[in-house]
Amino acid sequence: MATQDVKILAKKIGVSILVYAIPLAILGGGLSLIKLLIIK
Amino acid sequence: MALDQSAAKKITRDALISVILYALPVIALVVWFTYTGETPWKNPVKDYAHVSAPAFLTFLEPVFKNLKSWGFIALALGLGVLEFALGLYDNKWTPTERKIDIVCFLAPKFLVPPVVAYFSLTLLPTLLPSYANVFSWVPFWGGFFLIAVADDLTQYWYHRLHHQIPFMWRFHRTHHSAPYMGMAMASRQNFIYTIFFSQTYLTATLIYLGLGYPALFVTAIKSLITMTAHSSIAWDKPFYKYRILHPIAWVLERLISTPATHHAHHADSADDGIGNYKGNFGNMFFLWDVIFGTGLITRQYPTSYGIKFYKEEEWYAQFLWPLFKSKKEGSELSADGPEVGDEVEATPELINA
Repeated sequence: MATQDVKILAKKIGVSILVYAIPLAILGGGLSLIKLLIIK
Repeated sequence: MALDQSAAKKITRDALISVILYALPVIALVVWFTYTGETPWKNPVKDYAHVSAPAFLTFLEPVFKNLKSWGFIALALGLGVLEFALGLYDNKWTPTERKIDIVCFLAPKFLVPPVVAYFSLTLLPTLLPSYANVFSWVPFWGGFFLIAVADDLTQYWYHRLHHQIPFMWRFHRTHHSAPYMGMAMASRQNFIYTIFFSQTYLTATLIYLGLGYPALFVTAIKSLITMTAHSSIAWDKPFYKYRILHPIAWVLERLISTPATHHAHHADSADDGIGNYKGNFGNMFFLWDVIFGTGLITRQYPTSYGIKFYKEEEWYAQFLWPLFKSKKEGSELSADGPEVGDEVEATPELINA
């Protein structure tokens, strides 16, 4: 596997992690906030 | 080859819209708890999603569990045999294609589960030890809504980016190189595309956080929709044929992926006004394509499938590029091959049937 391929693979994994992490942050953060927003 | 400017603009715009879409289930839960006055996180009930689920799901639970463990494999094989018997592969299932399809069907079933199990049972508890079941207070309907949006919108983006970012295309190309539709090619993917499926790990994380029960139902329903959308037996045809069913068809084709809309995504040409291989990215929901304007609805099926610049590359190159390269000259998967066989263009706007 050439250096160029390693770069492509690394960039591809980076995009995968980003596509995973952004929704997780929105949903995890949102669900955690619910407890703070609703004070009964 | 750089990312097209107008495509980059659309990706940015749609990513911002997606933030709102991802937040919708959370907003719905806030409204629900405000309106009902419930605060289930204060008095945690074990398996709250179970307790708050509709009663009929108790009866359906074993069905969904069996579907997930062996049912879908049996269904894919049964449907595949039927497609083959009906001659729907039309002599296109050559020895090369057969090898790719069989390897792509079998190998991930052995190689992916251990990786996901390691992620769920070792990595997550190590990285987030105090977060196990932290959201188990979410009622069933909220968890179902949340998993459905999270899993499928994430796959929409994963899929779309592999089509619109030039360097990513070759990881997804194997799924499009099949010159036919059907169960034979439904699992046909480059292994690196499959093993780094973002939504697999997102849903695994949400299950770890306590949303396992609704995830069981969402993922099974999603598998059923995506499987039948790839089938060469078009279950949606009657909905277009009979006038009385047209209102149902109108809703269905905008809500979920159907054979008509997903086959259009696998067309080898867009010249006939039916194929839309640069759009129709939805997997379970077609709704994302409707929202982002990447969809094309025609209620017709393409006459030919695959990619125009296909060179029937070796199975190992299609399954494991870039770890293994094709020896076919000029192939996208060869050592000095082009990044993309044709240029990436902007997607068409939604056309109503």
